[in-house]
Amino acid sequence: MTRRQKSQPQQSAARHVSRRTLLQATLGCAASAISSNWFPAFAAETADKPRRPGACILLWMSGGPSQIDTFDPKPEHKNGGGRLSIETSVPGIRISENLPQVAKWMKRMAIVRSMSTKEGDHSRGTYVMRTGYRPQGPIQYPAIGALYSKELANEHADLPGYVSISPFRGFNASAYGPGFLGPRYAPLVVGNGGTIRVNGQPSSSLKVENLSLPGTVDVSRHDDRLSILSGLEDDFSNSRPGNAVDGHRTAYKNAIRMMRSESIAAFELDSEPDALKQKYGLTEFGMGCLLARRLVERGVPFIEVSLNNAAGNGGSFGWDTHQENLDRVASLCQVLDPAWATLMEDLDERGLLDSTTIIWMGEFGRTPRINSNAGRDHFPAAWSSVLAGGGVKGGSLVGQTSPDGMKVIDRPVNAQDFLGTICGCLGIDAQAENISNVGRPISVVDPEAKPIQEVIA
Amino acid sequence: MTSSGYHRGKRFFTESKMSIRHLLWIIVTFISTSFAATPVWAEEAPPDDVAELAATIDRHIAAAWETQGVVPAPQADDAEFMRRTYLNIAGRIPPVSEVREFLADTDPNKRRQLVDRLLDHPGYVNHFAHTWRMLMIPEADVDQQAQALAPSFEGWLRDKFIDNVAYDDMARELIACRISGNEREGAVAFYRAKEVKPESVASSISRLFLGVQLDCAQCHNHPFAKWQQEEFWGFTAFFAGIDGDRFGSLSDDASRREIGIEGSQTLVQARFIDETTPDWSGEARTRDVLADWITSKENPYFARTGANRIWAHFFGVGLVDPPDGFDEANPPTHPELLNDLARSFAAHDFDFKFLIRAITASKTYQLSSHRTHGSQDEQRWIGRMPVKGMSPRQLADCLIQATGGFETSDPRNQLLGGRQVDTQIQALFENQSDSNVDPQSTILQALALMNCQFITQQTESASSNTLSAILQSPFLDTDGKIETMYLATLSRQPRDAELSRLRTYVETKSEEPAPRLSFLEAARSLIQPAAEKNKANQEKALADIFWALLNSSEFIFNH
Repeated sequence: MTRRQKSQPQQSAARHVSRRTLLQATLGCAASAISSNWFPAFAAETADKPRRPGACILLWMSGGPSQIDTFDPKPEHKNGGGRLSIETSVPGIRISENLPQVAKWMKRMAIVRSMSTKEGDHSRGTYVMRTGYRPQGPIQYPAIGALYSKELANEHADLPGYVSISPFRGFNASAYGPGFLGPRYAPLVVGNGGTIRVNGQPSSSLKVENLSLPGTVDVSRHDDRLSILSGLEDDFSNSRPGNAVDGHRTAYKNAIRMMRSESIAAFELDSEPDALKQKYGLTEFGMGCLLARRLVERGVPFIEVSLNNAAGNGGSFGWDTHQENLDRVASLCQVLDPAWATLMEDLDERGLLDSTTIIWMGEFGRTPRINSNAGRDHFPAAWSSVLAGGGVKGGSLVGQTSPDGMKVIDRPVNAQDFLGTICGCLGIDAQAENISNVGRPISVVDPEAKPIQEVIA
Repeated sequence: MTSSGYHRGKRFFTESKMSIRHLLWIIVTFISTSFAATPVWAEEAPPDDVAELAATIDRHIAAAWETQGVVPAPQADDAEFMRRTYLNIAGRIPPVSEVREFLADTDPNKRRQLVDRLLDHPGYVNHFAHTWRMLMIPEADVDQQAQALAPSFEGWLRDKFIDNVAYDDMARELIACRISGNEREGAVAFYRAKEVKPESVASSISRLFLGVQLDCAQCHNHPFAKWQQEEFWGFTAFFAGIDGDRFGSLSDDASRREIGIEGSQTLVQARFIDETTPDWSGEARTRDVLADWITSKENPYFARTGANRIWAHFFGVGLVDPPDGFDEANPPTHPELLNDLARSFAAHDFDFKFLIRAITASKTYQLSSHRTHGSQDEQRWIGRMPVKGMSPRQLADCLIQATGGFETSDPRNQLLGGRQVDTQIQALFENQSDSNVDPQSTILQALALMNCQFITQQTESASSNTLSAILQSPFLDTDGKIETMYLATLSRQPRDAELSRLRTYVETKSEEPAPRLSFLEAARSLIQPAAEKNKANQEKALADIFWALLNSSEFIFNH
């Protein structure tokens, strides 16, 4: 129990009662649970869903992508590594030659070239960019996926509001969690980004584990089992009411709702035409982007797809290109470029791009200077991130770095500023507060954030 | 009754305004513990320090109930006490045979005897080593590199608990640990997990042994907290001499005792957090001097932090909570109790087992978790035992214990995939919460417990040890089978209402025709006599009950 609840006994007791009543109302008592459908009410509810609010797709570049080899090319300077820049669909804005397909979507994108943060360590950098706060003391800050999906949630959705595709959580697992918002806002994780796979079998690996009943148990037997369970839960929650048993019940309710929902067809990537899959790229990331589109179509408000590695990059990790940076970034971009560009196109063709904001970022950038191993090291002082699609003023360029790329010379943007900008694009109130695990209210984004107003459409 | 106990009791009764109900509770507590302490037939018996501290605990807790208007829950019955105590000490639920034995035992001292037995159980060593590893290297749960260092560190901790090394000696070994070369085993793993960074080691040591979070002061002075930036770096300076990479060679300049504040030119000298300056006379090694100061019996932080942690282990919530949140803004709920626990812990040479015996002997610990009054909802007053979550490893061990699934520690079974079950469950149930009185469940956990391969196998008569043994036992009728499943999972007998509800379920299902038969089943059913068909249905129904028990809150939580 959080400290806030401890200090407010009456309220907490009242909440127990109301929560219990609510659960009883939705779950039905033990007797009605024996009927063949555990949750008959939901089918009707989902039929007249309210209009889908905005959605957000975060393309997360684990390891920290090199800004010079993506969105802030320096072809004139030796730090550019001899790579060229190319034109985009917006005259005057040039990006790296590594991203030719993405370049065509510049009209719908805003590049921030003046990201300037303080954390150059994977774990802390990941935490700051994914929660908006530096790790400190006992406060468990939620990942933005949990925060934003809570704000954008559709109460009637069958699928969780936050889906994380192929996350690599090894740098900082708590940056992927719901923190003080609690398990209701935990991500539904698909794909195992924890092991570095060079070439997995993408479409079959992006499934929710344990989503289907075992072969020996059909739905009616599952109902029988749930009716027994329901009896046990009633007894336990009557004698030991509280967050533990309520949380257990909510998790089961949502899990069963999802198991029995038609929305899980989202994970059936096989039903997509081969040509489209080829276009996204037959990589875990490409298939992840395709899955993201299918989830947006089914009302999931926040989806993140992690790009953790590329074929040919051997045992190296993701964008953490301390060695052979140029080649490795090129391989990663061969995965990123078609997947991202096709995602934009696919969403656009379905009329979803205007209501879907796409974010591209990692935990930090990389040193402009190339090291003795032909690599680039961690560099939080001056790097790039991108916003695209819904709520974003396309064709924008924010900030500038010096000719050698070593420092920001115009409009520095820190982690909070950037996350505040995303809230603006999504129409989320960045100052909405949640009660933290230490009892202090904490806003979605730090109140000191200065969102980049000029890119919010 | 000892004379000091009498005076204490007398003062207590006259000074506080108590309800009759509280008075009765106190009297019962007093009489029972005092009798346990000095039985009438052995006047010369040595004083029972365990019972005395247990009574002290109960006195302080009852005093707070009085001022807070809390009506406590009744005492836990034997089954509730046993399950909870097994989980807290041995890290898993008890085997069926032991539950039966314990419930049948008529010795009035059986609860304390159980605790004594469990403290000699290998489960105690494993569970406490794991618990302290999670406290000391929490990084290992989120950071794969740190994870690689966890086993050797946990091995070191296991040795400490095997030898019942005192808390101060354990702390001293960790703080003063010699660091050099490529050594990776034991206490050094702690330093490696902290990336051999003086500031990470310092903030971890201060959280662990002083209960304070200096880290917030690492970057700036915090407006609300007591600790200022200089104090953080002054404490960090004790570790200034350590150097190296997580997996590389290490060095230690044992005489170094100053450090530069990150991002500034200021040099700070090593200084204790109570602002006293260390005595560097002699050839003192820097961290030896720090270890002496931290573990000193006069150090007010050390004993209280240790006692509070053990308390939090058993109640899920510390007297100061979070247990590393000692701060003027976060006072203890029961300051006198914390002082008495700390004093007693120090007086017994920081013996973990002494403190565990006293806490578990208290009436407070033996309260039921059953809510009988609204005033019990404020967990910090402990009007009833809080419901706690289990650590991922605890849950994995409980599932294995209940189902008779393979022992993961048996290397032969790892070949069969034992390790995988263990890690699969552990990964799913990782709990980032410091406080485990607010256990949290996720959809993925629910899906796993309902549908994963392990649960599926263990709830099929052909592939489960426990279930098949129960189903095939010629000595058990339906009631006996249900009863045994309850003992195996919830460690208690089913209540009458439960038994009759489930008996009806099994009987109804036995007579049902199988709903949808596979071709093979259909063919078999043609030549199968009715009795056998019923038996198959009955087994399925019992398997359903076993499945539901394993998925229940009562199984998944520690209460």
